[in-house]
Amino acid sequence: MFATFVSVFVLVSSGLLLLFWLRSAAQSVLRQRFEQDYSAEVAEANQLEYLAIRKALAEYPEEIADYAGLLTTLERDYEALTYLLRNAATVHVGRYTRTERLLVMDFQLLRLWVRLKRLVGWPSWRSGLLEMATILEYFGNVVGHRLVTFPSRVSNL
Amino acid sequence: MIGTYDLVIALLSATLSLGAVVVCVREKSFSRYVVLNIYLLYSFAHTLGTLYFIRVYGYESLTYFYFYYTGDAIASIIGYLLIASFFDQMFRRSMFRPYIRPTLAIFFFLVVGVSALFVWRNYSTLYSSFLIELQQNMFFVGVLLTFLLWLSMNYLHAESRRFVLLVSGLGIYFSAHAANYALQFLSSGLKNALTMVPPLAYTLMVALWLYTFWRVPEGEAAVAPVPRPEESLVKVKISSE
Repeated sequence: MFATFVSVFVLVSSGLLLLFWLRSAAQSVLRQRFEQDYSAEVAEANQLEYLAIRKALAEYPEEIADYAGLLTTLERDYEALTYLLRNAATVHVGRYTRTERLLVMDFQLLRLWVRLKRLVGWPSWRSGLLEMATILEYFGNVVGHRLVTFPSRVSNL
Repeated sequence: MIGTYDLVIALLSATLSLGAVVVCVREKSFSRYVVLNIYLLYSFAHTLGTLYFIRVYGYESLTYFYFYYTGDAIASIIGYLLIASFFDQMFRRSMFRPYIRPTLAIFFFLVVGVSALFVWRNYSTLYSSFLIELQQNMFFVGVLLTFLLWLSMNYLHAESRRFVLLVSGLGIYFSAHAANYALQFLSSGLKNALTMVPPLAYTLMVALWLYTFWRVPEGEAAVAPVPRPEESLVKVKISSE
């Protein structure tokens, strides 16, 4: 009986940790560096706020009171960036690449997780929002690189 | 006779192990990750040895059985030493440094001692469910240690992208093994299907390590720094057309 209990405990905790490690590995693999960082330019040109939010969350989180507002802003940025990913300077109009699809899934899971935390009144949303902002930064870079590679729809300021 | 799945996975994992060592040598980081490289080289030799023993003595032979399980036990010991080396590497610059090695050594001998005692007391039932239970517990210790490593890494803010990937690979390997043995213990009917999981978990870990040494530079931060808008070199905007 005790051995069965131990095995159930090992199974559940190892299974959960396996998911955790797989997610952590996938995130680190996807978080590749770009030779030229275009996320700031894309954010500025499209009046997106994910970089400012990421900076605020990373540097002075204690001053942030309105997490719900940040979440809404990040969701709005997400809508804009995913639209650009599917439609701007891509030969696969209306579709994501495999990497983008994984990150979209990750973003949706994080969105759900943060909302759940908010629902049960869990105070710390910072890490979830920070990860969401990082995903948006990656999307911004991808969009920027595509627009520079296919410059017909890009104008230099 | 070894099945196609086992053969493909064995050859793939051996190739990836050797590939990771070669990349490490080429990058001149062999000595920095010496325990990891010993582990990879040992696993490579063990995999090839296993294939040889199956071919010469057969899958059901006692010679193969002893070779495989003794080799697996040695691999587990090197695995623990690998986790210890990661701890050592991480705490190298912290105030806890003098205590890390003795603590890990005591812990290591404790695990080996308790396992030896268990095996000695249950020698008559060694090749029954006891072996599965013991393996499950041994791998679960690895799971806990890896998670502790992760927590320390976050606490010390010592996470680099390379380190995160290496530790994640270990985490995948240990947790997949522990969960697999626990499931085998709970449901013996699934044993045949579940024996496919450990080699797959090992291959995934080695593939991740190969990618890490190949593509991720040493010292790259796990989370990218926030770029400043004023540092922009090229200003682009999406046209309204």
